[in-house]
Amino acid sequence: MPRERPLRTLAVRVLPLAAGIFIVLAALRLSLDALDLDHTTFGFYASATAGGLAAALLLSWTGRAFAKAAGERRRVAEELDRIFTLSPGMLCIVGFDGFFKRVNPAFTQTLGYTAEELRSKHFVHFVYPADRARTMEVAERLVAEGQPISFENRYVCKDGSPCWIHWTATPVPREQLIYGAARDVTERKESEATIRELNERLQERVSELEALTKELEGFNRSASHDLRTPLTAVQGFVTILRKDYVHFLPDEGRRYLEIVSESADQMARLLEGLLTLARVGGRSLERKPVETKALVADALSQLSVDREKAAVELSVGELPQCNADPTLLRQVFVNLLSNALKYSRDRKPPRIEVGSYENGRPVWFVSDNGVGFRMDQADRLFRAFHRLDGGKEFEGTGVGLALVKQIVHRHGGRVWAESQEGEGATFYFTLGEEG
Amino acid sequence: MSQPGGETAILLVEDNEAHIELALYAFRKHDLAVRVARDGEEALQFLCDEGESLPSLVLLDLNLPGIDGLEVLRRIKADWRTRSVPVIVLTASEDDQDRMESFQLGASSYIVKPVDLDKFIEATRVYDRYWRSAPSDSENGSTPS
Repeated sequence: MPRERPLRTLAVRVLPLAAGIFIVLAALRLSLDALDLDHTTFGFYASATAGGLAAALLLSWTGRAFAKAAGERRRVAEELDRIFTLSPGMLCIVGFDGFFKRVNPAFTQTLGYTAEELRSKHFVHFVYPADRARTMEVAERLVAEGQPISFENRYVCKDGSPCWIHWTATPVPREQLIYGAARDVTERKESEATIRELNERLQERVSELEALTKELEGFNRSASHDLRTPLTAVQGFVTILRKDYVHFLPDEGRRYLEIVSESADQMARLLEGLLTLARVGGRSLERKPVETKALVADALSQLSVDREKAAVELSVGELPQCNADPTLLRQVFVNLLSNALKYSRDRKPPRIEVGSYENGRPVWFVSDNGVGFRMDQADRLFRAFHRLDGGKEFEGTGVGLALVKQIVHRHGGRVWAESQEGEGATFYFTLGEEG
Repeated sequence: MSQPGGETAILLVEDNEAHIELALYAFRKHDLAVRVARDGEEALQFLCDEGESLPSLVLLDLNLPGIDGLEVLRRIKADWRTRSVPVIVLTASEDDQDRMESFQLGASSYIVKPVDLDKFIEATRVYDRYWRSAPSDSENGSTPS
């Protein structure tokens, strides 16, 4: 909006007018000389008339200019007033004396007080008691430094409830006033408090779970030790019976003894599995840079006998370096590879592929052309002691993949498998953000 | 419980009756004299008994009632009269800490149960024979330095 300048308007109008009057007077003077009238009298009246006319015109124009400027000012004030009133944000003007000079309806509606109530007391009266000292400090800084400040504090609403307010305050020392724009952030603050509380509860639950896991691992450990003692005795006596007393037993008795022997051995393997899981769970993770390719070669050499027996076609692709616990990662590859060997040994020829690809971070995989599994059973693969074939066709304790999962999870990674029954299986894993 | 008198016996420190029975069967079969102590206190008492000759070997379980196996081992190796007796730890514990501590305390070997009895007996024979062929420091009347 162009700024009104009444004096300039006046000057612009007066100058041509004055020039006009002089031109008219000069013309009259020349004409009158020709008519030979009384110069002085006529000149006086003519000047007076012209002057009066000019003054009247000027007064009229100036009055109109001033009236227009005042109207413009009123219009601007009304506009500001309307904005102030209609603003959904809380607006206020506070004097350096600490009293509200003006508050908008959003302000009164949020806090529940009338404008008169707010104006009648020092503003700190409405601030939440615990936040008063801090708020006064901010107010003093505002007055002293004269710079805009943003801050948050709580007010007490008329119904007694606390209300979080985010302020942007600008002091104007010349006017001894502080202009404040504010908004109610109670919901955000409550959400933050709820999130914080939930986080704390989550942390507590995590701690509880960690303690529980430790306890379970401890239990696993001691239970498997305690169970092993009587089992060792059973196995020992079964050995004695089979070696030294078997000829006293009838065929049926020998068969039963074999069943006892096999069952005891199976139980020993299960206990061994339990102990292995407990050992890995209790072991601290020692991450270091690992050449995965060398690690896989090492794991393969451990399985070389089985590999040669089955005449496997093996392919090892590019494997990137990673950051992991080498002993545990080696165990992952040993378990995945021995799994692949076991379930593909009847294929002609068995094929195993070890490789990796990049998907934001490296994903390693071990795939085979073995018996595979149904995808609806995929999540059961990694459960300890769970055998999809029921343990009838393929030997093992059902600990291998559980161990893989435990190790990968301890690295912060993820393990999953894809397959089609009869079409082989692929096991994938990642090693978390640090991997 | 003592076996054929007069001979230097192997001392088995074990509290589980089934395991004792198993060991006795195996040792009897291989004609080795065995003496059994069912807790650490009994074992230490036997070892320090002036009237008894020292065993050729101690087979020590770690999980014992009362004084535990590692403490028994520590005391055997701390006493100049008994420190020369080889001690084989025979335990169900695969704990690395137990294994390390056992060797630090002076165990000659650490065997995790279950064991192949015949192989185990053969191993103990080696110690037994060694003991018989080389009289111990205590038998020679030497004193600790």
